[in-house]
Amino acid sequence: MLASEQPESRGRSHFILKKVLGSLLTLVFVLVFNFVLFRIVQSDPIGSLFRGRNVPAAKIAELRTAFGLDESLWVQFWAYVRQTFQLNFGISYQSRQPVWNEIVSAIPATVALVGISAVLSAVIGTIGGVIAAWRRNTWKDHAITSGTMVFYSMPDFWLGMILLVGFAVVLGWFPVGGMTDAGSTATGLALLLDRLHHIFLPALTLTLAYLGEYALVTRSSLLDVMGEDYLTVAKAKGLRDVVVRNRHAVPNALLPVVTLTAINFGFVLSGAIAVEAVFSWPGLGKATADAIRGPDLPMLQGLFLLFSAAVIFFNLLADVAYAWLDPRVERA
Amino acid sequence: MNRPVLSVKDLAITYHSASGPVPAVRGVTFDLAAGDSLGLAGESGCGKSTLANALLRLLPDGTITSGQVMIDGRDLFALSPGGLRAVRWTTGAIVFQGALHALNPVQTAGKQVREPMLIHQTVGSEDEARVRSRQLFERVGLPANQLDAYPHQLSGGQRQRVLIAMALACDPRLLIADEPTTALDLMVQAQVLALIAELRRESSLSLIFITHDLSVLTYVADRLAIMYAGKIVESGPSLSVFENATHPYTRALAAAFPTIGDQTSRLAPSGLAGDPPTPGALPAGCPFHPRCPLAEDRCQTAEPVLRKAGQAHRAACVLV
Repeated sequence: MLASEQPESRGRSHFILKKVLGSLLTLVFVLVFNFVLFRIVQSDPIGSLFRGRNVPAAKIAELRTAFGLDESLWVQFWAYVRQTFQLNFGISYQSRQPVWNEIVSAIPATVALVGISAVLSAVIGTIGGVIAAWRRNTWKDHAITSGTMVFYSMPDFWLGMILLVGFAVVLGWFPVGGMTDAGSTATGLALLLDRLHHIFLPALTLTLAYLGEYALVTRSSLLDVMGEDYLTVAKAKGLRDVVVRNRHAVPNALLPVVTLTAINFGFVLSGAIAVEAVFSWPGLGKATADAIRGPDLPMLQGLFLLFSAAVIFFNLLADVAYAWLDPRVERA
Repeated sequence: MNRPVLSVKDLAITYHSASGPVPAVRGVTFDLAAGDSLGLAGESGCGKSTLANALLRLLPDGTITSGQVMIDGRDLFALSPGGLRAVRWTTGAIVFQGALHALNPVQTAGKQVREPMLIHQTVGSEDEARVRSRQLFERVGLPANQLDAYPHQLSGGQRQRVLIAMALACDPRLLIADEPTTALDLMVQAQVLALIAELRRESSLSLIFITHDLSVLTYVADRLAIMYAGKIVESGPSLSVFENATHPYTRALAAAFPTIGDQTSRLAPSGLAGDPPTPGALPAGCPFHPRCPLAEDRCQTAEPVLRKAGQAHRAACVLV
């Protein structure tokens, strides 16, 4: 069983190629599913467009032709696929704007909010989990484990409402919602500070809500690793406790955390639908909540496709990162 | 006379557990001179691995130890944390069972072999460490290209050789081998044993070899110590202990392996009924008496001490 470097790198690139193809296949499935789903829920798009209003039958027939609804499902499906690749998701019922433009304009707000929260919760949660495991059964462990558990088990929108009432309504330290002060014409640094002021509470809510998952996964993963012989070996070699932890224990324990992080980043785009709604944060989450209320079906269809694509992409990224971090994946 | 590399006096180790204290080692005394080798044998749970870990103070926090361990003239339990780290691997190194997870799965073998040299600065540079790790690989019979291999790419025997190369990295005076051949198949086991025996011949390395396999020990160890329930129950020169076992437990242990050429023993290897006692609940008197074929009434009350049973040979049994 002589091992050289060549089969290893071939094994890894083979693994990654397999994952890329798998992701593309999943994407195709999502594309089909998204089409079928909206054909099931919506039997009469023209009817819901003019719900409650008296529209002449000739007009309806004209619109059906204009939307291609009198064509066969196959023709409709190919039109849908073609338009999807052209990023044409139709016109939003609510805003009368192209769905793609609506989505693009909501992306920055969500990426900022959920991106900041995802990074903060991953970093703080992982560090907390490492401390809790390395000092297990001490007051530090108990404080971290029970503290994060409380936030983890709370519904995020409820936590958001509590923070909103406490810090924005009662104390008045933070604005109650939105991304900037109404009618503000601030630019440059003042605008940035205004946005930070607005993003603080929703970002805090999401960070606290995601934190526990990282802390608990990291803690249990590290506890598993801590029983391994190679840590006793590292200690026997005369390494300092902190070197044993950072060089030998943590790199092995973080492998499952990498997957968790990537999956959570996949949800960055879908945002926190409930939390964005609570704080009137003008991102994709709020757009989704508004579209559901409509229901604004073209908007939902576009959003679902985008969310699925994001989750698939970050899962792929997780697999690639795993292959890079763990030399054993070539066997998988 | 040479100062012993290792001197253990009345070492007792008690683990702390949720169900109360667990006395794993209950008063062990032995000396190991430079270049000598001692084989420690006994069933699982007799305290031999605890003893091995205690020799470099690798026991979990909260473990209570008493007695004295002098390693190369230094009192192990009186060392500062920094002094302890300096002794580890440079004076005494451990070879664990390689088939388990004694190697870090996400680091290459070479990196793990170089690490102690760089920590203890026994080499001047990373390049020197590379040169030395290549030499060590050659010495344990591994091709140099396997320095870049990850542990999962190696076979059990190769992993065991990596562990031995790693243990030799800082030229220790004492090598503690904790069941290094247990999980290997017989051919590989013989190769690893031959390697350890060869390394001992080449240098003045002192060796403590721990196993449950008595026949292995007669090959690598000059002296044998048999452990039962946290104590040494018989010790002496290897052949003397193996062939003229005095303690009924040693006899049972020796008889558990079929004798070559003896058909009757091959067809019916005599084992020992029952399990070793749990350290938390030892029987009164001699801890071996419930399983002993020769037990008498007095064995239930008094725990025997080691007594002379021949030339440099001692056993802890009332029948001696």
